[in-house]
Amino acid sequence: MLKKLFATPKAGMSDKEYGDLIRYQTNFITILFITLSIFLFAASIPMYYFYGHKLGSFTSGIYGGLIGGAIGTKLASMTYLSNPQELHRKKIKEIDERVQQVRQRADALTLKILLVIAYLAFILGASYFTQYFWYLASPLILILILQPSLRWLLTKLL
Amino acid sequence: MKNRIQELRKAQHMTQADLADKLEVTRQTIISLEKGKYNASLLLAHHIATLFQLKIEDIFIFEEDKTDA
Repeated sequence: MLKKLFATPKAGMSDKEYGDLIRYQTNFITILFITLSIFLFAASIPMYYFYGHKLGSFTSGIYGGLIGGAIGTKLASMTYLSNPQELHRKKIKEIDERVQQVRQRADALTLKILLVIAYLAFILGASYFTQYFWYLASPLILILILQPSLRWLLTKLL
Repeated sequence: MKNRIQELRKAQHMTQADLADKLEVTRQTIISLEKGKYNASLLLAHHIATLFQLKIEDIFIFEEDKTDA
């Protein structure tokens, strides 16, 4: 199940196989988002009932985002799953090795840029040891921990 | 690395879109390959060679004195 959920389209995959994979993944995302929003809403009921806390705009935004995301993902997948030509075009775009390489390079470059910004923020924020400093420092610390860890893990796995 | 993709494609009266369709890649990839801006993976090179019924080394010309990215 997990393998199929995180599977990426591969060269040589038929349109039907690709369509099935997309359907499975989008259905999972839709169910997950709706379940999450129901769970969050259910969790907020006792807060309202016992303490009188109404839903804040932030929480409402999260529900709205989750439900909107679920509906949007499902509608988008329905659009190209019902159109074989569009599905084929989307598959080609996803399995094209040059496109994948471009995407990987863009991701790597984005990470480097983010790292530079985080360093700058870290230096600027260092003079004010407030909670804001930690907001600025946390992405930098996370990147610095995650990048070598993932590199080590992927070297072992691949 | 140089290649003979454009020459072989034209010899078979194929458009870039036709070749892209047969290889299941985007047309931009064919353009990049023909211009020598992108080097195909071994898998794609194999597909190209199979399509033109030639050996990989008959299509892709490896230049030893140049380092390819």
